[in-house]
Amino acid sequence: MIHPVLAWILLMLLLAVEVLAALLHVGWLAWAAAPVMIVVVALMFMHVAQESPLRRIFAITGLVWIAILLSLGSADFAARHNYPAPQQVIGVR
Amino acid sequence: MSRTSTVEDLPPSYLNKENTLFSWLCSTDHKRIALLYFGSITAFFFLGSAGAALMRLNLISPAGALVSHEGYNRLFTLHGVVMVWFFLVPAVPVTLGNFILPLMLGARDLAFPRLNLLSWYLFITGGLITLWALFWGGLNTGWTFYTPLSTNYTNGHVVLAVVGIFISGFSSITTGVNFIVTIHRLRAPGLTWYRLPVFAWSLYATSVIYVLGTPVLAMTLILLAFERIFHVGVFDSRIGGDPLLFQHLFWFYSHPAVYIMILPGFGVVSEVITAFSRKALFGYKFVVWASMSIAVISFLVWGHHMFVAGQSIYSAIVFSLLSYLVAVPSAIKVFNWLGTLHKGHIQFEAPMLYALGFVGLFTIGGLTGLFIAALGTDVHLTQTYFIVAHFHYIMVGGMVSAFFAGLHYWWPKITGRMYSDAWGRVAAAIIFFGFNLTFFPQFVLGYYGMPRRYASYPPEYQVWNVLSSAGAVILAIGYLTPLFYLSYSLLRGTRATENPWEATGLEWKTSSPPQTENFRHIPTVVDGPYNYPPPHSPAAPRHG
Amino acid sequence: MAEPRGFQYASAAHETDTARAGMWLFLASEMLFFGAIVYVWMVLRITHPQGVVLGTSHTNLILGSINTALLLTSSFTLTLGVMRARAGQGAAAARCCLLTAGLGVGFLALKGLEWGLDLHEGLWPGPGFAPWGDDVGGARLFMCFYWVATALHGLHMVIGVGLLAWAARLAWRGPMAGRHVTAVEVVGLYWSFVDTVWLVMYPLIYLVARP
Repeated sequence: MIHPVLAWILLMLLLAVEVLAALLHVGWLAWAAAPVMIVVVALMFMHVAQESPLRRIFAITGLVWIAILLSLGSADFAARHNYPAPQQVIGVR
Repeated sequence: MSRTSTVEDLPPSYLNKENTLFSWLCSTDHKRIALLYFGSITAFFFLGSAGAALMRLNLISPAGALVSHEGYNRLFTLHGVVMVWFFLVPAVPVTLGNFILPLMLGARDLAFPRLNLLSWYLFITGGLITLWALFWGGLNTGWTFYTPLSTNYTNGHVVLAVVGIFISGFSSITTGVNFIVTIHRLRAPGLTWYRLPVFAWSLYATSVIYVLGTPVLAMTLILLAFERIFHVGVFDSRIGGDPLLFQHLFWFYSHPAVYIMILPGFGVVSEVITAFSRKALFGYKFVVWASMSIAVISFLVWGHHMFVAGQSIYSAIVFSLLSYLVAVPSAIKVFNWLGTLHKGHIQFEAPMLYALGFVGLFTIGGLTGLFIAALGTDVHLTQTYFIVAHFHYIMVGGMVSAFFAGLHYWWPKITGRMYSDAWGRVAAAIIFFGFNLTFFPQFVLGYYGMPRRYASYPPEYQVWNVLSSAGAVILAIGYLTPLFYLSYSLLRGTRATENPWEATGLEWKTSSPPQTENFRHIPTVVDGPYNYPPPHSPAAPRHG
Repeated sequence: MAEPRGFQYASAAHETDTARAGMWLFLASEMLFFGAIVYVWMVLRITHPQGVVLGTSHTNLILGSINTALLLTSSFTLTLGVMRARAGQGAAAARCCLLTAGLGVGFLALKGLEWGLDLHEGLWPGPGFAPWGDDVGGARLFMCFYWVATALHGLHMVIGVGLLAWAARLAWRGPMAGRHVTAVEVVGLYWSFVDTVWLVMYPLIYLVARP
C-alpha cells in the first residue's frame, strides 16, 4: 500500500516542478524532470525491475531503437542549412 | 525406406478434421491459417506479376507499345505496392513460418493462436482496401509515395491505398510478436537456443524487424494522409516543411523491410542445403549471429536510398559506410552455404535447385549493391535500371526462389503428397533461365543510363528492353508451371511418409500431414541441429 | 498446477507469463510508433527553433497540466487495482479499473475542451492560422505535430478505456485460473505505457520551448 502512494506523491511534486520551470523559464529543469517521472512510472507502476529478464530486454530494445531513429535521423537535418519557413503561404490549396 | 506410404485409409490430420467453411475461416490452428495465407499470397503474387507483365509488354517499343504514360505509372505503382506489402513482406513467414515454426519447435501451436487468425483478417482487410484503391483509378506515385507528388499533385486514391497498407502493417506486427514470444516460450524440452534450426533463428530476426520497423511506417502513413487531406504543410517545402522528412521516415521502415523479405529466405536455404547435402551447416553459429546482426544493422543504413535527394553530405557518408557494413554478414552466410556444400553428398532435387539458384542470384544482387552503396557511382546509377536489376536479383532471383525452395521442400509435410520432381526440376530451370534473361539486360540498361519508371525510352535502348521482355515471358511460364504439377499432386500425388527427404528437424518427426495437435507426445531434443552422419560413413547416402 | 486455457502451454503460469511477455513486446512496438512523432518534433526543433517557441506559447499550459495530473492519478489507481487483483479481491480490482477508466474519460473530456479552445483561437494549421510574425511558418509546423500527437495519444486512451472495461468485467466475475489477474496486469502495463507517452508529449508540447 505504501509504495504506489509514495510514487504518486513524487509524481505530483515533479509535475509541480515542471510547471514552475515552464513559468519561470528554466528550460533545463523540465528536461530533467520528465525522464525522472518516466522512470518513476516504469519502476513503481509497471514494476519493470521485477519483470523477467526477457521482458526487461523487450522494454530496453524499444528505447534503443528510438535512439537510433532520433540520432541518425536528425543528423541529416542538423548537418545542413535549413531555410526559414515563409511567412506567407503561397499557392497552397 | 520407401518414400510413399501404402496406407489405404486417409489418416486423421489437420486437413480433414472438420471441413466446413466456418471451420476453415475461424480456425485458430496455425496450419490452417498458413493455408489461408498461402491462398492469399498466391493471388497477390499473380496480380503483381500481371502488372509487371503489362509493363514489360509496354517496354517492347521505345514509344511504349501498350499503355499511356499515366497508365504505365499506375502499373508500376500497382506492381510495387502489391509485391512489396502484400507478397514479399508477408510471404515466407506467414505461410511456411506459420506452418512449420511450431512443428520445428516441438510446440502444438503458436503462443497466441487467436492473434494469428486476427493477423490474417487484418492482412485480407488491408489488402482488399488497397486493391480497391489500385483498381478504382489507381495511383501514379510509385510504391514509395514520395511527397509532394503524393500529397499535393497526384489525382490517385492515395489515402485509400495507405489505409489498406496501414491495416496490413498491424498484421505484420502481430505476426512478429507471436513468433518472437513463441520461440522464447514454447520450445520443446532440450531444444536450447543453439540447437534451433536456422529457419527458426531467421524468423526471429525477421520478427524483430516486423515489431520495431512497422510502427514507424504506420506513423509515416498517418502523416502522409494528414498532409494529403488537410495540406497542413509538414512535408511541403512551400510552407517550410521538408519532403526529406517523409523520405527519412519512410525509409527507416522500408529499408529494414527488404531484410524482412530476405531473412526468411536465408533460413529456408540453410534448411534445404543441409538436407540435400546431407551435411551439417558449416559455421552454424556464424550463420545465426550473421542473421541477428543483419536485423540490427539493417536499421542503420536507410539513408542510402536518399543519396541524391538532398540530404547532408556528412549524413550520406555515414550511411554509405554503414551500408558496406551490412553486406558483411550476408557474405558470411554465402560462404557458409558453400562450405556446407563442399564434400557433401549433394542431391539435385527441385528444392535444392531452387536453393542453389538462390545462392548464385542473391550473390550477384548483393555484389551489385556495393556499387550503389558508394556515393560516387550511385550518382550515376541511382534511379536507373541498375537499381531495378539489383533489387530484383535479390527479391526475385533470391527471395522468390527461396520461397519455391521451401514450398517444394515442405510440400510433402503440408499436404501429405509428393509432387513430380521431374517437373519441379524443369520449372526450376525455366525460372532460372527466364529470370536471368529478364534482369541481366537491365544491369546493362542502367549502366547505359536508362531511367526507371519511364514508359518510353530512346531507341538505342530497345535491344536490351526486348531481351528483358522476352525473358519475362519465359519467367512467367516458369512461375505458372508449379501451379499445374503441384495442383496435380494434391489429386494424384503419391502419399508422403513422415520424412521423405530423411532430413533432420522436429517437423519431420510427425505425420505428413500432421494431426491438429502436431505431435502425439512432445519430443525431447538431445542432439544439435543438422546431425547428419558424416559424409563417408555407411549410413550416409539416402535411397532414391 | 492450474490448467492452462491453450493446449500449447504446460501450465497456467506458463500461459500468463507468456501473455505478459507479449504485452511488453507490443509496447516496444508502440514505443517506435510514438518515437516517430517525437522524431518529427526533434526535426522541427532543429530546423525551426523559433517557430516551435512561438507554437508552444499558444498551448494551454493549465489544461495540459491538469490532464497530466489526471493521467498520473489514473495510473496510480490502476496499480492499486493490480494489487487488489493479485490479492484475489476481484470486486475491488474491478472498481479500481472503472475508476481509472473514469479518470481517463475525464482526460479525454478536457482534451476535447482544449481542442475546442485551440480551434477557436485559430490554431489549426490551415488557411485561417492565427499566429503571425516571422516565425509563423515554424509555428504552423509545430501545430501539425501537436494535432497529430494529441489525436493519436487520445486514440490510445480511448482503446485503453475499452480495455479497462473488459478487464473490470473479467475481474468482477472472479478468479478463473488466474486469468482475471493477467487481464488487469496486462491492461495495467498498457495504461501506464500510454501514461509515459503523455509524460514525453507534455514537455514537448507545453514546456520545453516556452518563451
